[in-house]
Amino acid sequence: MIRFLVRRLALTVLAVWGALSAVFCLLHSSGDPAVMMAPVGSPPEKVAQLSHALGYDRPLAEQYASFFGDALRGHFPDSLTFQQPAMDVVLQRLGATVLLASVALAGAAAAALLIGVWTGSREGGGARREWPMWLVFLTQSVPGFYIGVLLVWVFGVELAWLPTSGATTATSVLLPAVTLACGVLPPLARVFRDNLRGELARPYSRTGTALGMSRARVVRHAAYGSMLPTVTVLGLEAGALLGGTVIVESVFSWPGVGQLAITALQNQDYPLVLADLTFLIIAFVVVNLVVDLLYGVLDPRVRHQGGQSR
Amino acid sequence: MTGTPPLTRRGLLGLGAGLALSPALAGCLPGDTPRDRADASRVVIGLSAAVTTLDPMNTTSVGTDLSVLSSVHSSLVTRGPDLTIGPDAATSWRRVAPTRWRFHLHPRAAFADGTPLDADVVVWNVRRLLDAANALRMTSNFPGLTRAEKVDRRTVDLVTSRPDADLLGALSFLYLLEPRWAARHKPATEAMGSGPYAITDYSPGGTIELRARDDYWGPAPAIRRVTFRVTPSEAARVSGLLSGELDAVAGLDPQDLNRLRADRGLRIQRLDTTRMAFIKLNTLKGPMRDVRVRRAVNYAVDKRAITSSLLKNTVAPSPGQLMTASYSGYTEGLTGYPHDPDRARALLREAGYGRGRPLRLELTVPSGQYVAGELVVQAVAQQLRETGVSVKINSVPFAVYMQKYLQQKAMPDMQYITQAWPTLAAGGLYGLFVSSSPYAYWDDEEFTDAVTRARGTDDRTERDALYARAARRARDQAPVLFLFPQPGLYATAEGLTWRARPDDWVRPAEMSWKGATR
Repeated sequence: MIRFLVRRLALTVLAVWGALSAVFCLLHSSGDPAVMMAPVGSPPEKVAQLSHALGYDRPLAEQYASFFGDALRGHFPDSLTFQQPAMDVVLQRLGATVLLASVALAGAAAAALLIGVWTGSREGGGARREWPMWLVFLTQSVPGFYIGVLLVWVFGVELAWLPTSGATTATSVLLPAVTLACGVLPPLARVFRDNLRGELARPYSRTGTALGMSRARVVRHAAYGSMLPTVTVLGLEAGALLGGTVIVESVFSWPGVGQLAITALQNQDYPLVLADLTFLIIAFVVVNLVVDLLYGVLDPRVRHQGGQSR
Repeated sequence: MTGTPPLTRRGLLGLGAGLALSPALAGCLPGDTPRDRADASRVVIGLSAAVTTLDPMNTTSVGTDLSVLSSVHSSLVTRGPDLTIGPDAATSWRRVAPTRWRFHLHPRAAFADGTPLDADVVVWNVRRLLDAANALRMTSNFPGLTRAEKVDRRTVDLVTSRPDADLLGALSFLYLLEPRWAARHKPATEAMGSGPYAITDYSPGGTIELRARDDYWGPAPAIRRVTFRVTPSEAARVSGLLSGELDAVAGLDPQDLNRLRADRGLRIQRLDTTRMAFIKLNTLKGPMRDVRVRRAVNYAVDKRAITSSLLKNTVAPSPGQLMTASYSGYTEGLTGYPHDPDRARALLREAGYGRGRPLRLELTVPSGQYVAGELVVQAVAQQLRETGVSVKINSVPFAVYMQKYLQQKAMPDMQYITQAWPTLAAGGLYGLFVSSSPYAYWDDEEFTDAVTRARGTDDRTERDALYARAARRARDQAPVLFLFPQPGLYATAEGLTWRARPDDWVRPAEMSWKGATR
C-alpha cells in the first residue's frame, strides 16, 4: 500500500510539473505583458522600462527557473491586473467553484444512479423504461454552452423562475450546476447502467433470485458490484468538470476560478494565469489520486495486492 | 418490439408531477423576484469586465473600474452627462496665471471617516500621482501638471509646465484619497473616499455592493443601494436585462438591438461614443506609402452599408474624422470619402496596380475586443475584393495584436482599431498621429506641425484653426480607412431614469427610479 502511494504521488508531481511547463511556454510565446499594462500612447521606452521592472526582459530560462523556485516555496508573484498576490485572488474565488462543481457532481451522480437503476434493472421494457436514456444521449450530443444558453432562455427569461447570472441567491447555483452536470451525466449513467446489467446477468444474482431474494435486494447487490467502474468514470469526469467550469462560469457569470482564468488570459496577466492553472492542475491530479485511493476502499483486492494488479 | 409503445399512465403522471414540482421548488427557495421593483432605491448594473483595482490612480478603464470608483471618491471637478466640466470637491476655479489654476474647495467636503478634504489632501494626492516611483497608470493623463501648492486651508493652486487647456478635463479623472488612511491601508483592495457611496462588499473581480453615505456632504443620490455585477458575456448581459435581473447595462452589441427592443420592460438609448473606429494604414511601408492607394481603399468601402446592416443604423459614417464631435478642438464641416468603386479602381490603376500586378493586403483585427469588429472587417475585405484588391484577414487575440501594434515593422498594411482619448481633448487624440508617436504609422510634417503648434497655444481661436488644418490634412492624406464612431447602446429597465453618456461612465448617482420618493 505504501509503495502504491509513493509511486502514485511521484507520478502526480511529475504530471503537475509537465503541465505547468507546457502552460509556461505557451503563455510566454504570446508576448510581453508590459505591452498590455502600459497606457495607450506610451512610448516604447516606457514599455521597455515596465517590462524590465517586472522582469519580463530576462531570458526565458531564468524566468522559468524563478517561477518554479517561487512556486515550490508556495510563493506566487502579484497579479498584474489585481495588484495583489495572485494565489490570494484565486483562493478568494475558490469557494464559488467548489460549490458549483460539488452540486453538479452530486446531482449528476444521483441522476446517474436513478437512471441506471430505472433502465438497467430490468431487461426489455422498451420506450417506457428507456426514455431517460434518450434524454442522456441528448445531453451528450448537445454542447454544454448551448444547453446553458437554452436553460437561461427557458428558466431565466421566459419563465423567469431562476436567476441567470452571478452568485447572488441560493437558487443561482441551479442553472450553472445543471449545465455542468449535463456534461458529466451521460458517461456516468451509461457505464453504471451497462455494468448493472452485466452484474445482474452473473451467477450470484441468479443464485440470489433462485434463493428467493427480493428483486430490490438483488439489484442492490449488483449495484455495489457495478460501483468500481462507475467511480473510475466519476473521477475522470470530476477532472473534466473542472475544465467545464471555465465555459459554464463564463456563460452564467459565475465568479469562480474558471471565469478568472479567462479574464487573466485576456489581460495577459501571466502571474494570475499561472497561479490559476497551477491550482486547477493540482486539483485535477489530486481528484484522480483520490479516486485511485478510493479503489482500495471499494475493492479490497486492490488493498491486498498492493496495487500490483494493474 | 415493434413500433414505439405509447406512453403509459404512470409515465405521464411522473412527467406531470415533475413539471408541477419545479415551480413549487423554485418558489420555496429564496431568489430575486424578477421585475419586482419593491425596493425603488436599489439598482443592479451589469459590467462588461471585472473591476481589477480599487486604486483610482492605477487604472484608466472608465466603463468599469473608474465608474465604480467615481461613486466612492470625489474629484476636484467632474464631467457631467452633457460632457461639460462642473464642480465636485472644488466649488469654483479660475486661472490666476497662464500656468496656474486656483481651486476653492467645498467647505464641508470630507471623507467618510470625518477627515476634511482640504488643500493638504490635494497637495498630497498630486504628489502621489506625479511620483514616478509609484508607477501609476493615471499619471500619463497629466503630461503638463508639475505640482500643487496650498494657498490656505480650502484653497489650492495647480501649476503646469506650459499653458494646459486640457487640465480641467484631466482633473475630472483625479480621485482624491485620504493621505493618512492611504498610509495604513492597501488602496488596491480597500476604499475609503469622500464620494456619495461607500463600498460594502468587494472581492477582486467579483460583485461589488455600494450603499449611499448618510453623511455625504454633497447632494444625496436618489439610488441608495447599488450592485455592480460582473457579466463578461454579452449573452449574459442580454438575458439579465430580459429577465429583469439587471437594471442598467452600457456598451451592448447592436446585433442584439431588435431583441432588446422587443421587450416592453426595457428602454433603449443609443448614441455615438467618444471612440472612433477606423482601419489604421501602415503608411511607412509597402503599398500604403502611396496616398493614391490609401484614398482608393477609402473610396472602395461602402461605410453606409456597413452601419445600416451590421450596426443597425446605430451610428452614421465618420465625415473623414479621426475623432468624434464630443472632443474639444473638433472641426466641423468635413465630408467623408463617398462610396465610389470606379474611382477606387482608377486610383489603383494610376498607382500601377491591375490585372498584371494585383494589390495584396493584409488586415489584422483583434478578436472579441471591439463591438462587431470582426464582422465589420469581413465586410470591408469583401468590398475591397470587389475592386480587385486581394485581402487576407488575420484575427488575433488582443494581447498579440497589441504586441504588433507597438512594432512598426510587425504591423501589417491594415489594422482595425478604435481610439479615444479620455480627457476628450483633440490634442491628446491627435497626439497619437504625430510623427514622433510610435502608434502613428504616419510621418506627416504638415499634420505634426499643426498639432504641435495647437497644443502650445493658449488662444482658443488660433488653436481651433490649427486643429482644423490638422483635420483637413488627415482627411486628405488618409492615414486611416475612415469608418464610424463606435456605437453606444444602453438599456435600462423601464422606469429607471438615466441619461446615457458618450464617454462610457456608468454612475449610479446620475440614476433614479421614476416616481420614487426618498
